[in-house]
Amino acid sequence: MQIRRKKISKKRAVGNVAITLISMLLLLIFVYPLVYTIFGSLKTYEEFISSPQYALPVKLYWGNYVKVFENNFFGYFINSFVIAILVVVITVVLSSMVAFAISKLRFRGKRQMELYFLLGLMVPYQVVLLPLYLTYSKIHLLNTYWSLILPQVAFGMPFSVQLFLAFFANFDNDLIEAAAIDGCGISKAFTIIVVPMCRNIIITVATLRAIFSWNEYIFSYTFINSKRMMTVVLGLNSFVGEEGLVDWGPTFAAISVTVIPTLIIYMFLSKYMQAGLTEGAVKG
Amino acid sequence: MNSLLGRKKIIAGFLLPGVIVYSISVVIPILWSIWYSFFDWNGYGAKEFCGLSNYLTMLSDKEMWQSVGHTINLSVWQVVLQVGGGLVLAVILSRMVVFKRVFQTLYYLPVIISSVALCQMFKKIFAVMPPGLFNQLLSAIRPEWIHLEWLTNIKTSLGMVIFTTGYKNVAVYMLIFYSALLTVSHSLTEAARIDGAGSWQIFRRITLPHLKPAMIANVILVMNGSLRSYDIPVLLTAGGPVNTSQTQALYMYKQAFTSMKYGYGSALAMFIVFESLLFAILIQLYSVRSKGE
Repeated sequence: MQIRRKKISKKRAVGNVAITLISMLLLLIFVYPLVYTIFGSLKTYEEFISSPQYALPVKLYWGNYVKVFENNFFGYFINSFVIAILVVVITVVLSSMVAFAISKLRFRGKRQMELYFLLGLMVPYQVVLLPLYLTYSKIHLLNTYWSLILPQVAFGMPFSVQLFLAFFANFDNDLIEAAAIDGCGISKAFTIIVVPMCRNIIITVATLRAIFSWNEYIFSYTFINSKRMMTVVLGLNSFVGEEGLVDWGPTFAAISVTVIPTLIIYMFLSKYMQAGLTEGAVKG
Repeated sequence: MNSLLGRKKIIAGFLLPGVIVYSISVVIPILWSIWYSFFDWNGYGAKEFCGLSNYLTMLSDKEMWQSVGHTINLSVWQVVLQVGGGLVLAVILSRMVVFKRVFQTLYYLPVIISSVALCQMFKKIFAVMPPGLFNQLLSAIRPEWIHLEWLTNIKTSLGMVIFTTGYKNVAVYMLIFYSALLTVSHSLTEAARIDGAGSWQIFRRITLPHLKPAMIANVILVMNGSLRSYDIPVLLTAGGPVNTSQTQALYMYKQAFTSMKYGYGSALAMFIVFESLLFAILIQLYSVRSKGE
């Protein structure tokens, strides 16, 4: 028995070492490209030519970032921020209201309503591009914030409604009823009792939507072509096309700049984000 | 109470804003796409009704079937890389002794980076002129490998798209599997271990069956995402060289927006929808049948 236990613990120790090595290797694979990019953003053109790609910058050179911000990146940032904030706010408000109605109010066709919103998960974005493009060009919505906000909200709703529905399924009905009977009405009960209790799920939906909106490409590429209205991802692409072909430093600086806001959100709120992803998938 | 929760005005107030935004941006455009797919139309001239002729054109459109082939190839590989890889990562994560949370968070980084940023990074890492990071590392093994082409090579372009897509998304499925792994009954695996079952047997007989619902959900999610994949192929290789990494969504976009064949483009879009639905139905049938066993 004693011998067997020793054998097992030895086996386990070897296993632990193997797992640690593998996990470090994976870490390298998943994180190094970004680290390499950030280091690269701090190198001069001469350094790129004279030293190997994996070399660290000799000293921190900020000129690449200067180039990036001389190229209207402030404008791209403002565009992306405004769009992301509006998308998040509108998606949270609309999805929570729809989910609340489906889950707590009494009307016929609830199941159908839920399925109607689930449909959106199945629809490839490409299917709506052409009709939306034609409509937006007719009503002069191309090259406006709304041409991105509307589809980003709409395509975010199916998943967000699902997350809110899962949350409301465990929500105490008595609380809402008591508040409603006390004469504060359903709408008021919703805003002063239900919404504050949804804090965590709201943060989850908001982070997921914010990052989705910040990174979204196909709607932006199709509906925006004026340089003034470009979002950060479009700006990055056009910047690389103009300046980054020979000199890599500015490209890496531009990539780093566009990634930093998502990294900050993720650093502080990754717990909420991951909760939403696992919940949504298992339910959906 | 009943009347309060069932008051029509209140219900409409809660539902309508969401339903309207969702309908005008998702549901109604789909119906329009279906409608357009029956017309020969370049967007400016008159719409000419042409019945099913757009769909018939598809049958003999070689470039389209080539792009469908690439998409299916890509999708099957995504199931391997994202669902298979996600499972492996989740198991590794569950075996880790320290810093689990840190590793989990860092593995997830590629998911939150935009496709545009990721593809720009990979374009430089796999560059040939001047040699990028990857080729410089390879040249340490054999000096002539510094000239290997990856993104501009007809043999590897689709592979690179497949790799990048898998790389970007695998951690999502790692998380889903990992949270499912946490719910495996500990007393059950302990009992099996006491009965002399090895780790592999426990994994096969207890853990894997437990993960089956998550597995099916993940396959659906991955297929659903892969059949429409557009961002990475267009950003990494632009579908090239000579269409070797062109997916069906890319081809559809090209037909609709570059060649201005609005009717044909819509028909191609409907084909993507049809494929997704077909796949969803198949997997439903499969999971119902295997439940019955």
